[in-house]
Amino acid sequence: MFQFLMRRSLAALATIWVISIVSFVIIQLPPGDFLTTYMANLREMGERVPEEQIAAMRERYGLGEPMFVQYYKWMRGIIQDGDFGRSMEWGVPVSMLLWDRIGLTVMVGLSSILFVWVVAIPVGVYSATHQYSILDYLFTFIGFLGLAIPNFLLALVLMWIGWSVFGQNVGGLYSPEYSNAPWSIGKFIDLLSHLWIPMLIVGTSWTAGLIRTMRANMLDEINQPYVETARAKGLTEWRLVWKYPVRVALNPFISTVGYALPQIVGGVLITAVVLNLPTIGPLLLRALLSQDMFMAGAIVMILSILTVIGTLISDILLAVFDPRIRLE
Amino acid sequence: MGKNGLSRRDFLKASAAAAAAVVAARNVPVTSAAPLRQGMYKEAPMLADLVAAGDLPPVEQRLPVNPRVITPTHEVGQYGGTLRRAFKGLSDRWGPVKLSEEGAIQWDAPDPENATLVANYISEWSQNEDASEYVFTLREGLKWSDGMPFTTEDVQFYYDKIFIPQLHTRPGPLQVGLTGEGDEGIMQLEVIDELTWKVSFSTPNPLFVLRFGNDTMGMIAGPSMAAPKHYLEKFLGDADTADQALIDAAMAANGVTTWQELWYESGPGDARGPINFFFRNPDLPVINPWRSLNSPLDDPWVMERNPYYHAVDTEGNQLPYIDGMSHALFQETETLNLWIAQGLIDMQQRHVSSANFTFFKENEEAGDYKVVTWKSATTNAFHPNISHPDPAIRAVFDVAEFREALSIAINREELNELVYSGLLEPRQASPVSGSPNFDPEFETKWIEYDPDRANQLLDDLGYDQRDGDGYRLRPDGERLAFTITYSEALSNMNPDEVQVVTSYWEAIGIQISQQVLERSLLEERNRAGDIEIGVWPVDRSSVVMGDPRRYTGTIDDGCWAPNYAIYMADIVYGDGTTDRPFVLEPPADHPVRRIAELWDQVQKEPDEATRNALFKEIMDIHKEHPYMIGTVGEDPAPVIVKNYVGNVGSGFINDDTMRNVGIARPKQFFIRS
Amino acid sequence: MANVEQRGQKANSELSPILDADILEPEKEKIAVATPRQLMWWKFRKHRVAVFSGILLIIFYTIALFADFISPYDPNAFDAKHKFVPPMYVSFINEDGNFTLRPGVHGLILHKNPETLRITYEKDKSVWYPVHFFVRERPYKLLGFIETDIHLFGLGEEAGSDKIFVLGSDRLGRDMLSRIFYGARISLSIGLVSVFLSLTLGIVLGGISGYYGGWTDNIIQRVIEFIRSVPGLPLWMALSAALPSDWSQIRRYFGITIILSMIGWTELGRQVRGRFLALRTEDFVLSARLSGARDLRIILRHMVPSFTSHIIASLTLSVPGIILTETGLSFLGLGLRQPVVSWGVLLQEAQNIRTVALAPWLLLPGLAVVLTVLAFNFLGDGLRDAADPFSR
Repeated sequence: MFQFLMRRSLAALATIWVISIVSFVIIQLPPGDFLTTYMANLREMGERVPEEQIAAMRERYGLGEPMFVQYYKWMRGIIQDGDFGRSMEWGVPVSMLLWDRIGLTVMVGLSSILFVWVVAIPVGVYSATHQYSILDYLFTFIGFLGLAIPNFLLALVLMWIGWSVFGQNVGGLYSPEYSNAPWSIGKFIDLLSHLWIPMLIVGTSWTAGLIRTMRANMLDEINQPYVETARAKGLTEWRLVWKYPVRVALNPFISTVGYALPQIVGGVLITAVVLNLPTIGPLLLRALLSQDMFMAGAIVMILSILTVIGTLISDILLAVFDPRIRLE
Repeated sequence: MGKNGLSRRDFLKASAAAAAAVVAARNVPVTSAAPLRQGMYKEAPMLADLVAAGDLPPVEQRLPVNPRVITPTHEVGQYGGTLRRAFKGLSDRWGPVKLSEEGAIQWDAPDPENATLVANYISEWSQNEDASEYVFTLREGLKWSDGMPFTTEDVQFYYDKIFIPQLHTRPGPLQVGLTGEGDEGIMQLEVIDELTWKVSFSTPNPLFVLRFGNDTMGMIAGPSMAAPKHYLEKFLGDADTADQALIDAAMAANGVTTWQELWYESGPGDARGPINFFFRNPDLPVINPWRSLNSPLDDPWVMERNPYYHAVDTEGNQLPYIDGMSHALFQETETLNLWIAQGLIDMQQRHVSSANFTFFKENEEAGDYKVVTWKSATTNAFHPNISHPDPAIRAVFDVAEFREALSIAINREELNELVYSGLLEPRQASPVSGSPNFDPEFETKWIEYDPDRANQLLDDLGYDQRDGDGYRLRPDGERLAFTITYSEALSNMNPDEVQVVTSYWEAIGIQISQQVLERSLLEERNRAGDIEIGVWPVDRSSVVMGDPRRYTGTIDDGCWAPNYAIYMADIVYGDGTTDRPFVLEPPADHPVRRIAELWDQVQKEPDEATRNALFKEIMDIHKEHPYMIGTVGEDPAPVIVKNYVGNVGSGFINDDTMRNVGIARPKQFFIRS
Repeated sequence: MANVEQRGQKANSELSPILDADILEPEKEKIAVATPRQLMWWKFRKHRVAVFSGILLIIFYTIALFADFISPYDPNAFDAKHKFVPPMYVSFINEDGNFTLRPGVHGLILHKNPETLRITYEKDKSVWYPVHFFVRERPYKLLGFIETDIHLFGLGEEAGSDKIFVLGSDRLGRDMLSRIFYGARISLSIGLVSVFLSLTLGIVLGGISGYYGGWTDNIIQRVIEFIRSVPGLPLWMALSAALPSDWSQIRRYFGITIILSMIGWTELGRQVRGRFLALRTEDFVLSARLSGARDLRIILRHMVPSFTSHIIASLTLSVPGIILTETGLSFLGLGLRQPVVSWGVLLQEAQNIRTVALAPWLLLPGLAVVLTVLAFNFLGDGLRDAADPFSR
């Protein structure tokens, strides 16, 4: 087991390193750099920027240097000082912008995952055991409705209904009075009262997928001979279903649990943009569009590291649950 | 054009007045009304409390001896309140900047018909006969927001430490402090006494005041040509005045490693550093009506009134009326639209699009606001590139009849109704009505929809053969086909308009394909100068002389002859080098040559009348056979104004040259309690 | 207890029909001698929702194929006099209030609020346009080569400039029905290429990984882990920047979907591998191997069928994903956009607050996506049941 852990951890480190290179490269693949877009925006707004300043800025951020030199400097900063570089658009170190947003992102992500699991697993089991019943069809329909409507649109419609029907402002994560306030119980409650909308929107698109997968896995299991055997042995239907097929059907989830967080961050990105959530998604989108490369690079790195760690955890979980894999 | 023919005439009169004001400034110093007697000033209750508590000197001591007097647009306002607005963060600074900008000379308009340049924190200015020397005088007793006196020492400090004359080796486009003549063209400063200073140029620089009126020379949101020496000198790491503890704290707070980086974002001289950009430094003394309380990284970013603001209303009430401003951060414009409908926005113009006009109007009651309309100095236009690298394409576009055919094939009335709900106005790409350069003949040139004549023109040009698909053929047998290139990322860009215009041009037998590019790709193509037909707004069309680059063709954002115009500007009239990857020498006698020559003369001509005549010739070249094919323009530029917000005028020209919302004098906006 | 016994017996008799073949009645004998294919078809036929879904999909594809014949109008033809027309009520009551077999629509009177510029329409009871079938207008090439100008329905010449908008019109007065029909062409074709491509890649690579194990497995797993760890957004932007910018929109989009499938196979690949790890020690795999079957055959014929449900589920789940990816890509300036018509484009055009508030019928393309997805899903369910050796 220890050897397995060591081997996987080393592999994870290597993966992170390769990802750091590739993400640095892909961020810079689109033509032009931050200054192209930045200067274009300044010009559009009537500000005049002399050539000297553009050149100076290019030099300051090392934009003119070969890519591997830029990468080396960036990496050195991260490893030596934990310095992810400067956001060119916001004019401050990336880390100043990221940390509190990461907390909120994880919070939104985790609560969404929780919501999705709590809804999807029982519904999936029900759908499989009551295949082709009216409720099964209904769940399927609702699930796919959530899946087939773009999150952006769903968020917009919910916000509109929230306001025009219920008179509620549903954007953001805090009420204005708590926005700049320090953490307090009131602020936390306020946060919870705003959290359900993103939870619901992200939930609707994810729940359908999970219900379908759960239902399908259950169907693959529920007709296996061992279930018949168990049934023949006189287990109650309830125990019969929950004791064996559900556990087996959950297996594929374990192998993907590692991806859940980064995927939800990616998945909520557009939702977060329209709901105006202070998470890292909108920051990433903006950094990419304006080619704010250290900002984008840092976010991509952090998401990648989260994924790799998640994969590691799910591999370990799989190994714990399934001895066959450990033997490999 | 019938519907506002009358008002047009009024605008013309107004523009004459505006031009006259600029002239007047030269010999007759513009001074404010006579100072009000001491004891006559009133102040905001929140300041009165501070005065009563002894934390603030009385208002008479805070105001200059002769404060600027601003006549309220509608009525004398009430004190108090916070104006709620929204923005997209630090890089979206123009909303707050234009609301609180304080140049030495400012555009000012008590009503839309009378826009003039006025003295703001200075009491007067004058210039010499050949427009090479300008003398400015500060208002006596003017103070920074921390109560310290504002003197010519601050001007000298700005000149040495922020403008940094040694830095300016090569003139940029329309730089305020340069005349474009190399080292000699750099502005020289001479401080005369505590209140008076003089700037001089080695050659005439008659457009200086005009440019000064819309550019604060690096000091974002002002004050132009001054910086708070008493505060900033502590952050000069290599000076005796340096306060190392303060510098260290500022460096740590902003994550920089050298003291120099506190002073700039890109490089020396840009004044966008964490220490000298008022957005980013709440401690920086300013002279703006409001000063920053936290950082724009916070949400919302809040500002509070400057107790030392230098202007009063006609009844002696110190301005601004409004106590503070708050900017909520949003990512996506749809969020802002919803906030507006919900009544969460008190006053906003930036990011408010006329495409949502109906939505805003329908929700006026629910959101307790009204939609006030202005007039954007922008005309949407298609730009056939007459300097395209491919000679065959140049040969097609550089023919007046061909462009006329393109222009009159567009049914502008229908386009307006279809895409803009009839809110805009069919017009040629020309100065906006109300501009001193407005010319009704130019505005209506080639805009009458006449597809038959368009077809006839194309036939006569030799494009009368058609292929199997019904498209016209060039004499060389090639199909008459062009690509329209644009980016949806541009503000003012409406892809629907491109669809509609494409169908009009297809209808006269020209094959049009569309290429939608991501923003930075568009930039790249733009610099390469090989876009066939570009789609750009023709903006900056109010006081065109202030920024004529759309018409001279030298603007970076797309143009009608990029390769010719940059050749003329850089190679012929510049230092002989260019940073563009591709330029093209215009043929002899090409109008582009004349335009470049005229503009060169305009910039040096001290005589007002001669200058205007020269400039008119540039506009006349365009009028004779427009290069930019305008479609519709004068967008109503909607302003969302809460019903309890007063003194926000309507009908103003919305243009960068006249500083957009700034011209309506935001310091006299007020919130009715 | 009795209940369980009964069930057990029932299951038993169902599980072993073949064993008792020689003592069966003629009806069952037919089943006994049927080929597996026939058996599957009979089973599938019984699944009525699946059959219905299959028919629906055939209809959708027919619509896509014959969009120019079925659509009453050119999807890109704008009309300044018919902006934002709400869906029209096609009725069988004519202008005199009498019932008629030929459906028709009433004329519309346009009102424009001078204040808000909002356009509303009032039904003009005095004007009645019966729907005409096989009307002649707008020449086109049916299936790309048959030149004709016959369209399934329309209002004919007598209506003049008045039109029928069954599903309403958009901001430029374009007919939503025609746009949805034309949109099906792209959304149901190149949109789905990537789904099938990633399915194939997922099964083959996941299968190889799980079947062989060892270093092959290790490499493929690291590749999967790597691909999945790079967030999609920057990847899309970078790769689309790598595509030549002079490609036409559709070609570009096709390129992007191929790229998407190169990323998209990994999830399925990992799941398939998990199942293979467990399955490869099973007896039936061993016996297949002993009887000399080639590896690929064992993977595709013996192992993959044992978890069809899962594959079908992930397949149907990725169909809406890919249609919606288009709208997501548009956010980055990479997706399709007008004048190309696809469901993703239509949804993208509808995602703004003024549509939601003032013209909600523009959200209808979402319904088309939902229906397609449901149809694919139920069809998949039916196929799975029919193919599953263990199912009832």
